[in-house]
Amino acid sequence: MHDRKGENGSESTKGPDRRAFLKAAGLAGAALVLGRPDSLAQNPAPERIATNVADALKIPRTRFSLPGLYPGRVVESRAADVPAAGGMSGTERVSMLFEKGLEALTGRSADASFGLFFSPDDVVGIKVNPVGAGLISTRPETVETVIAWLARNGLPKSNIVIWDRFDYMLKDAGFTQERFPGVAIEGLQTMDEAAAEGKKADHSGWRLPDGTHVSAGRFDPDRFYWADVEAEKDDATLNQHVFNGRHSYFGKLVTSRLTKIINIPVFKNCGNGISMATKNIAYGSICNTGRLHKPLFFDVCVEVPAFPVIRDKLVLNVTDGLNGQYDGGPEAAAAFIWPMNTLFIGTDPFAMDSVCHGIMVARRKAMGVTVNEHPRFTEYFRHAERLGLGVTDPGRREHIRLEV
Amino acid sequence: MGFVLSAACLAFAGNVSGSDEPDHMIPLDGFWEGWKKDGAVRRFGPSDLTWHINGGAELVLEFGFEALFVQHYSRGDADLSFELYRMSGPEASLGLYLARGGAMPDSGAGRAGGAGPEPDWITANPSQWLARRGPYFLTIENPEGDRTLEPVMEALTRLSLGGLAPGQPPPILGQAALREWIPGSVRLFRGPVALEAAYTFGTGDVFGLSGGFGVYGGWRHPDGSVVTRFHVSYADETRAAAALDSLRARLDPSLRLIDDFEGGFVFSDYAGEYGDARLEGQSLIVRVHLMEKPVQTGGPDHPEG
Repeated sequence: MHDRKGENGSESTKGPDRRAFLKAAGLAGAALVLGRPDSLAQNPAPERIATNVADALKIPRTRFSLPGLYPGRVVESRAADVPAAGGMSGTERVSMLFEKGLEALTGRSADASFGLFFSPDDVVGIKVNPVGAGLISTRPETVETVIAWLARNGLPKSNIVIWDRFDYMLKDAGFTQERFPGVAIEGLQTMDEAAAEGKKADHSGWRLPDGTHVSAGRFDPDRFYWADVEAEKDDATLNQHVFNGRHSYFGKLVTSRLTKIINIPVFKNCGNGISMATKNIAYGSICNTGRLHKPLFFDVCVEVPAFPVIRDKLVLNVTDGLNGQYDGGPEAAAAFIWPMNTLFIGTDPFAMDSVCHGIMVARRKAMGVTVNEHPRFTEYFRHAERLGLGVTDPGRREHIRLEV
Repeated sequence: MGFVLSAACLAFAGNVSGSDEPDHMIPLDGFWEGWKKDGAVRRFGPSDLTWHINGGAELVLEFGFEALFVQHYSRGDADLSFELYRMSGPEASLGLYLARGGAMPDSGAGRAGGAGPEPDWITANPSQWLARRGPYFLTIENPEGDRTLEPVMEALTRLSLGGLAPGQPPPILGQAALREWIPGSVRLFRGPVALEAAYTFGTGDVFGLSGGFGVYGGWRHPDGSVVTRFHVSYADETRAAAALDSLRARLDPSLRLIDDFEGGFVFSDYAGEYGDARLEGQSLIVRVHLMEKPVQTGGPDHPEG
């Protein structure tokens, strides 16, 4: 079944084509630079903490720049019989969900779609979410499916890197060399847990004699997100976040080695919001994030992907909704996890998150969870529209529901 | 599963000394045939909790966090993750237990704040067990959801928390009279992180909690309709009245005060819905998501005005 409807329930016209979108994005960007309200926003943008996002907007776009080749288009590919938990035998069914979804996104076969996004000499990073290992983390079979598709179409496995910000979480979530032979598995940074836990006074495991973090060299000093919020100046913060000033540097893996990125988050809540595509890529690409959570949580989800190292490389998003979690997140809470049997596929992570946010709210309400629908929880979608990074207006995005 | 921590089961708690020292609450090698500790116990305090909780630590800290002890256990290919939180008190552990999906115990007396010892607070899911007693909150994860491990998870729970003497139910349960609340919807709040998940009233300590706790959740009226209700009990009526004044003064710009009267006020919100705040003795009761403007006094939820 192929049900192509707009969010308002009516048959949608085609989503905005890329040329039309770029034109609109250009106007929106101009409006932002000139400091006047733009027509895409429901409400005027509230006053924000100063950041360097304007620097990112000055850099010319490429044909892959967000929102990518299919602005506003989100495919919800669902099956009723994908194993809900622990089902490694489900890889074949997951593969079908992915390939049918990709076909609905591009209008071409899955294999023919490969060339839209990649060439065999690309180095492709797959950003997973290992938090909540096993219960609500990115499932290995979803990643296996994507890797099989890449490899089948000519990308060497040696050109693939599964990555997260912290190396120690990947193993617990099932991302091991045994399971993914030939593929690199890397964290952007390492850490010294024993020192962080106060079990030893020796900080040489994370701090070099010159006082810098051992992982400092793995971040790019020339590519950063700056925000006028300073981190705590203690050892624990520096150990965990590598830097503790007002700069959050992008990992060199992202800036120098990867030429394309596939983002595979999971479907889960984060308090009253969601922690899906934009959160996964934004907070997983930079360091020194602890300072950003409280004052800029949602803005970071928009502004970090605005930088070309993400904006121009992130070509595909696959939100792993084989299981979903509607409350208790971002930590795993089994009582709130249910089998969704769904993959969400698109190039536009903001359209995807806005669709998933709506599904999450509906699920929370249906399950009796108190939901705060204050506009502040969705303002970041409008912020993304103003920056020309995504199509999140329900009247303009295209939500394709597919049953496989 | 409510029997698990009962006194009758303490005979099985062979390696628990009865002390509430966490070292004695972390089961040893061989607690179940073939099961051993996998690595050393890891301890996290307030300053480094974010090392272990990657996102979401703010809520734990807000409830009143003191320490977390993490231990892995394994037998062959099977493994379990054991996490014991020591919170600042029984309400803090209850807040975390409910936030993570813990269910109220089957025994109604305890949850309503009745006399007698605290019932067992355990929620068993094949992939995750949650339990609390006193200031401790325990979670045991079995990511593969292997049901054959449930007896092992039960044993870990019993051996860890079973050595603690049952206390009295957290006082807040008696204050809030939970009988009319919708099962599964009840949550505690102690500050803006938890409160913001439910509703945006304003910035700062809008309820004047000063470190105390409040309750919110779905509330069923006698006519069957359901609203979201917030309940905070204060030390006396003067403090409750001060909290009402504070709430009125700090109302979020998205809320509009439309009716103000002695002991309460009515407001409308960004969605065109209504809410009201009223004093009931030394408690402040706030309702939101009302489809019709509430009358100034009376009504099924406020029979005495």
